[in-house]
Amino acid sequence: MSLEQLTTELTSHFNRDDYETCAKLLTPIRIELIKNGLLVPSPDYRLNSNDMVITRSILEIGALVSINTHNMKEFSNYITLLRPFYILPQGTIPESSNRNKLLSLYLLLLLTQGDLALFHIELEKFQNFGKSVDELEGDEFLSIPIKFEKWIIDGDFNKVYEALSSKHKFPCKEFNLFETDLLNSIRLNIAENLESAYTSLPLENLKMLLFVETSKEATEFIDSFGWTSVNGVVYFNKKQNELEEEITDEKQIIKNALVYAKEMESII
Amino acid sequence: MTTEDNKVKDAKAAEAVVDGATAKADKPELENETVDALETLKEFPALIERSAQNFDPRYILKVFRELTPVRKEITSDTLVSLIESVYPPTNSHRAYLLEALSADPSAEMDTEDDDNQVPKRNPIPEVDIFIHLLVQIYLHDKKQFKKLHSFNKLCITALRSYDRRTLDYIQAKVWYYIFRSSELTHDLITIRADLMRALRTATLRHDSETRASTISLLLRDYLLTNDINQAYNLVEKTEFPENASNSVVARYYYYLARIQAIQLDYSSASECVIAAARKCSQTKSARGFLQTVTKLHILIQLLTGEIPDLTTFRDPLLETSLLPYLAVTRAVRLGDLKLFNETLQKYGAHLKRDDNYNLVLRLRQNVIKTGIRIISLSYKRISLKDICIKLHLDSEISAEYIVAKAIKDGVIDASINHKAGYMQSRELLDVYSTRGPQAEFDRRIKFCMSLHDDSVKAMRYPMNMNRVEDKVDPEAREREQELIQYLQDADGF
Repeated sequence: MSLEQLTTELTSHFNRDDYETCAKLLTPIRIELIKNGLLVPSPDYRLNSNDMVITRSILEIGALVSINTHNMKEFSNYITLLRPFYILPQGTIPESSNRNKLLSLYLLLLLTQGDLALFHIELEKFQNFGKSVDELEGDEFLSIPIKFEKWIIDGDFNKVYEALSSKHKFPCKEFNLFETDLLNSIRLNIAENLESAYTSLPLENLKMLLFVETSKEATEFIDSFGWTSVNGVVYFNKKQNELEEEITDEKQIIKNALVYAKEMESII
Repeated sequence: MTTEDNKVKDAKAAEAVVDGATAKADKPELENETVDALETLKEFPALIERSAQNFDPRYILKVFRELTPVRKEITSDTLVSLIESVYPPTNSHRAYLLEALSADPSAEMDTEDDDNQVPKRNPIPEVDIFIHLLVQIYLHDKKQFKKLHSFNKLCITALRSYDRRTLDYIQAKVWYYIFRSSELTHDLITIRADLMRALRTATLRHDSETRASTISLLLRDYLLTNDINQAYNLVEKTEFPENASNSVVARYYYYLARIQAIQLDYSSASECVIAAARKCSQTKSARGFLQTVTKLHILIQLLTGEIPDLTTFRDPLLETSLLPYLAVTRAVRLGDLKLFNETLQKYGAHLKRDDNYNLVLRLRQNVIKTGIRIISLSYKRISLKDICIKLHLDSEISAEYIVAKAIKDGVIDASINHKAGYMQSRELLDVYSTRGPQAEFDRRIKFCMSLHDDSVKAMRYPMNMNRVEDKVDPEAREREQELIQYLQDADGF
């Protein structure tokens, strides 16, 4: 099949939300793209701007398909492939309307993976488009991951939960796909915080704070963190503060003093 | 353009560090300044040759020190006559060097002074590259960036044709100007390949000066194009030479601090930025760099929840440039979100120009952190509800999560009692009852001792002097012979 046929087929399947078929089609398309040297933007980009727009839209479909089929690794790959198209000098090809949507999905993915360093690196890259972070906050799509990150850094997990549980607020459906992953990652965060902030906590409160519904889920958590649960109260087995040890070992001091003396002698 | 201004300023700062200049030519006597400059310049080739013969970089360093005061007085005429005195007319480099200075290579300069004889042999590579550097500096100072940019291509070819260790110091500087012109002509992507190649060659040749220089230039390139990930990869995969000169080390640490600050690794960033401030020369000429470093330092301190010392802002060298940062610090210290936003409005453009705007925006979140810290210091026990009111939070649950996170992050040392709904600060420990101070004391003494050892090691002995003395002192040699004899005899038994 030629590249053109494959592409029309892909678009029609994509519009019908038939992601399985799309995923199957994408591999031969990518091979065709490589054969024709279109997968990466060529240096003389003035010549074939039309081709590049097409390649870009194919890759964008690929990214959306992989995210809808929960293939996050594939999704990251597509973002990497798309990036050269997004950073082309202005005016070479028209800006993609999907750019901010895909990049904000990618940012959300980074949040679920807890990779805040990379998250901020990505935000810095927007400076190449002349955008600082507070300008990004005005964007329909990008404001979402940025808000989430703020809440996570603050520790305001309540707000994250509220935003996630009211599904219809997002501008596109793909954002909902991150719900479970993101919740799981913030639960881990919360659990770590609780461990250091409390000595004990009633089970009911723990469930509420971790946003878990059933006691079974709660017990799983308790077990995985090595906490103990007695009569409906959870005890966090904290390590004692290490600073409190008293000076008991005078030998170390003497040893140090001897070393100093030796050094002094060699200097004089 | 404002960003443009900044870049120029920034570059001046960097440059100032490069030169580490101490003396600014105050008011040169107008009459014979060109003659003076020419005379000083003409001394340089001899010094460099001496350096090359003895494999001792001291003379080259001396040249660089003396170059700074005369730098402003270099004119195309002085350079042309210098080139004429160094290169024989048949030399291939001579033509394009003169062309770069807009002089006609074919026309013989009407040499008024007769002792200016035409040299017969080609100059040694060190002198050749040094002349390249002088032309670069001249073009750079005269702001002929387009010309410098095309001249650089020839420089790179010239550099590749030589392979001598004594070139290292000059080469490192040549690369600096090559990069600088690329930056000014907005050609940051294509230069990377050349820098990478230079870095590879320098690494293979153990040329630590050029290696340090190219690494820091590459980092600057990546940071200017906001390619933090690339920059981070470079830092991860290369080893910065320990014995690079201070100005390059200072810049390297500054870039490192920037990368780490963006990656939210504030504690390492703080260490690096302090190192950068200490390594940079404390003279007036490095003021720009010091300003940039101090700005970053202030922000990093604020981001870690510390409030910088007020004296930082009082430094007469830095005071005016730090005004926006003082305002930001005030807003953070008061925990006042409204004041913070006003400050952003007022100084936003300035902060953007410093490339620090995104970092400042992160501080908005820190306002809450600082608030909690202040509360925990002033109250031994406070209900979550009160925290909620004081910090203008939405709900008690939010307050609970936020306090828990603050405890986990080590912002405060406290615990929460959920049943009664309060936060209790932990008693401050008496550190002197622990081993902490002892360990710290030990660390510092060790540092002083290693500093002493290093200085002894770094002391300079004139080369070959020991060996000469050996020969002069026959008695010692006799004794040595005796000793060897004795040892051999002892072996026999």
